[in-house]
This record gives sequence, C-alpha cells and structure tokens, in this order.
Amino acid sequence: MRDDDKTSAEKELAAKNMRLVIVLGLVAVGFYVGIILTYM
Amino acid sequence: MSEAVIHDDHNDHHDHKPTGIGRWLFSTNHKDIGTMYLVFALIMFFIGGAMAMVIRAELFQPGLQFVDPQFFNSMTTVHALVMIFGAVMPAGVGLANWMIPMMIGAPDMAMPRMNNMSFWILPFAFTLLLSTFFMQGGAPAGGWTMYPPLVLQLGDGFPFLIFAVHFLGISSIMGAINIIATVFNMRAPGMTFMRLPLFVWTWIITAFLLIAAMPVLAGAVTMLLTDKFFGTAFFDAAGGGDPVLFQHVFWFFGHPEVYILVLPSFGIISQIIPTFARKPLFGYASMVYATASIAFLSFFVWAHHMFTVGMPLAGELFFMYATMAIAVPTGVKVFNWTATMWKGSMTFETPMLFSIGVLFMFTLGGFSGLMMGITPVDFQYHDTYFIVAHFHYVLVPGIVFGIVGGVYYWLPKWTGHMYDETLGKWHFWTSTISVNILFFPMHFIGLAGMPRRIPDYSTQFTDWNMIISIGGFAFGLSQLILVWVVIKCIRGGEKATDEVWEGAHGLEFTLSSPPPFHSFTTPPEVTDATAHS
Repeated sequence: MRDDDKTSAEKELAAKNMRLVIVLGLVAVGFYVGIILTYM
Repeated sequence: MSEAVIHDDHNDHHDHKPTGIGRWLFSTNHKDIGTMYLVFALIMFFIGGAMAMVIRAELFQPGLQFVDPQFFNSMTTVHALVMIFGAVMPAGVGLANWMIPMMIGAPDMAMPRMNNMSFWILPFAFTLLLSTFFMQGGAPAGGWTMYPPLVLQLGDGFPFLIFAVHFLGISSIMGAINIIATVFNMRAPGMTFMRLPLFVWTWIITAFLLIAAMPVLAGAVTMLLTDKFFGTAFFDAAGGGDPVLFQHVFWFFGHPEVYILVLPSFGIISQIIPTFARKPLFGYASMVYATASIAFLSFFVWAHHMFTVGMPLAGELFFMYATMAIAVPTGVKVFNWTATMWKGSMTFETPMLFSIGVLFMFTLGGFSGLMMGITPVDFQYHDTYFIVAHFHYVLVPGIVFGIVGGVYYWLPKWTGHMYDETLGKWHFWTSTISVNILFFPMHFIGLAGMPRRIPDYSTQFTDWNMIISIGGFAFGLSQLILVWVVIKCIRGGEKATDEVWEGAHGLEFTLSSPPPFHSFTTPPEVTDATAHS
C-alpha cells in the first residue's frame, strides 16, 4: 500500500508502532552497550 | 488496543497472493513468513538431528569408532547451537507469526518488513555457522556455552561463530519487538489483555525475555571477540580479567533462554488442553501471573549452572532457594493443566496426546532440575549425563512435543485439510517410547559418573549407551512420520471445518480453513463470549 492510500487511522497506528519499536530497540541496544561498559 | 482500522475496497488487490519466488523472498505476510520459519526450523531440526545421530553412533560402544574426538566435540557443540537457535526458537517464532495476528484479530504483524528481515537473517547466520566445518581449525568444539579460554582456541571459524550468534540475536530481538508491537497496538476492539489467549500471553512474556537476555549474550560474545582480536582482557586472567565472569554473564542470558524456549510450548498446550477437555482453561489469571513470575525469577537463578566454580556459601544458598522458588509458579501451571482436564469430556487426538506428553515428561525434567538445584548434590551431577538427561527431557518432550502438538493442532486451519490421525498417533507413540529409551537411562549413567561431551567411556557404561543409541535412532526415524503427515495434509485430505475441533474457541477458528491471505481486514468485535478466557 502506498502512503497516499492510507487512512489517517492507519497512519496513526503505523506511527504508534514505529515509536514502540524504536523505544524497545533502544532498550535492547542499551542492554548490549551497558553490559560491555559494566566490565570495561 | 488499536482503533478499528477498516480496509476499504481499494485494498482488495492485496487479497491476491503474490506468486513465484518473490512471494517468499519479499514476503510481508505473517502467514507466509510463519511458514518459512517453520520450514526452516524443520530443516534445522533434521540437520541438528543428524549431528545427534553421529554422536549416538560414536557412543554406541566404547572406544573411537567413526569420528575423531575434535569432530565429536564439534558435533555436540553445533548440535546444541543448531537445535536451540535454528530449530526450537524459529519454530516458536513461526507459530507466533502464524497465530498471533489471527488470535488477536489483527490483519498482520505490526512491522511486516521487519518481520521479513528477521526471518532472512537466519539462513545467513546459519550459513556462517555451518561454514566453519570447512575452515582451518574446524567448527566450534568448546561447547555451545562458548566458555573462554577454550573457545578462544578455535581456528578460523571463531569470528564466524561470534558473528553468527550476533545475527541470531538481532533476528530474535527484531522478532520479539514485532510481537510486542503487534499485541500492544493491533488487538481487535474488545480484546483486552485479560482476554488474550494464553499462547499470546506466553509470547509477550517471551518477547520481553528476549529483549532483556539476547543483548547480554551479544555483549558477552563481543567481549570474547575483542579478547581474541583487539587485546582486551575481559576474560583473560593474565591480563587481569576473569574467565568465570564469562560464565556469569553467559548464564545471565542462558537461564532466561531456557524459558524463552519453554514458555511458548506452555502457551501451546494451554490452547490445546481446554479444546480436547472441552472445558475452559482452569485458573486463566493465575496462569498469566505464573508465567510472568517464572520469567521474572529466571533472572535470579543463573549461578545454579555453575555451583562448582566455587562461590561464597551465601551465593550458593541464594541461588539454590531462588531455583526452588521457580518450582512454585511452574507447579501452579501443571496443577491448572491437570485441573482443566479434571472431569472434562476428553478425547485424545494427536495434539492432546502430545500435550499430555509435555505435561508428564516436562514435569519429569523439572523434577530432575530441582534435584540439581540443590547445591551440595549438584557437585555429584555436574558435567555428567544426568545433566544431559535433565535438559533433554525439558527440551525434547517438554518443548519439541509442545511445538509438534501445536503443528498438529493448527495444521488443519493452515492447510484446510485434516491430517491423517492414524499416522499422527503413530508419530506420538513411536516418539514417546523412543524418547524415553533415549533419555531416561542417561539418568542412570550420569549418576554412575559418566561425564558428558566425551567420545569414549568406561566399559561399565556400554549396555546403557547401546540402548540409548537405539532409542536415539528410533526417535530420529519417528520424526520422518511428521514430515509425511505434513506433506500429505498439504496435498489433500478430508476438508477441515472453520472450527476444526469440536471444543475449539478463539478468533482464529472464526476464520475459514485455510484462512484468507489477509486475515481480519475488518477487525472483529471481541466479547467475553468470543474470547478464550
């Protein structure tokens, strides 16, 4: 589906999904970097 | 919960399935990606199984028969890595991909392109790992736990092992994030958290475990990499590091990993048992809280894997009691499954047989786990076949049986055809008998002192090893029945109804069998009557 075809509800849901993915991704990266820095 | 996102007529072209290789390479459809995960897991199950056959052939009698000790050690190491990261985890993700959107009334996963990428990283990662067999120094042979300094002795394959583990971690984390986003944001109206099917609940909790645990493994193997190539000394005693530190970090990942593997299996049998007992699941809320408790406690028990390294008494006591504590929520779950069956109108189709198999044999594996959680006696069991017996009871009849039960349960929904029940029952009974011949005697030889990860052994262990190997070959052959059942079911058979099973409930059973390429383009309204709980 092209972006133009999306309804506003779909766009809002896509943005909500993206926000959650970014937050959880940052948490995972934080754990990864954190465990290495802990033992540096 | 998502607001109702209704797809209008202009999206109808999406119901046309793509064709050719592109359908699979570029797929963003949760069902197609689920199928690819499951097929990949099955292939890896047979590759890992072939390695197990080499191990059992070598151990059929004492002395060196077929392979040299280095290759034997590679077999034990890569067998574990392939089975854990290539077979069991992808099978769980495959089932999650197929079922979660249908169970929560969503049209697809939240991030379909990321879903595609999560899958396609896997074949790439395993190509890296398996290519090490053809390298100078051979494949990894220091055990799947990759303990330094032994693992650092690996030849050219070392960086391939490390990068393979990194890629597997990235794939798992992306899959986990996708599942969380799907369940949190894509549920149909009325599908509250306490109406979610147990399979979905176990997967949310598994996904959080993955996000917390996999980066720790990635961090640990990154430190191995820098120790080997960049002059750091995280785990090198000569440089001020500590090799035991690796064990702590590894098992901080490793024990939650056990629950990452087992919780989806718990979720599957929590779907199956109520269906064939024709009763609602007993104690739904307590099941959810027990699952969450198991996951939480799993981060406080890691050192029970390494009691023999020599730790302070207070540490040994803490980890012993914390390990015992996990038996409480696990006991709640076993009690609830049993109570669900109590006075139920039960029938014993293949998925139910596999679920009852999980109930009995996982519990058996759990009991031996409690035994080795007791610090003083663990010194006797450590690094013996008793440990091998324990974790194989958990992993094979506890987890693989759950996954296989799930495949039988949902196969008619996926294909639109009923599978061959007679062959299914043959598969169950041959697997159950052979798996016990394979793993139960390992308790005896373990208690008698046979060490794990060796290609040769004292002649006193010969008889049991022969019996174990025969059980192993029989179990391997039994799994070919599954392949035949699945192929036969895909090709045809009795038409499955939408409900498939008489006692089945849930949104997935309101869809046609097989379901449309895009399920729930209009979100269903969920009420207490239509929800699982």
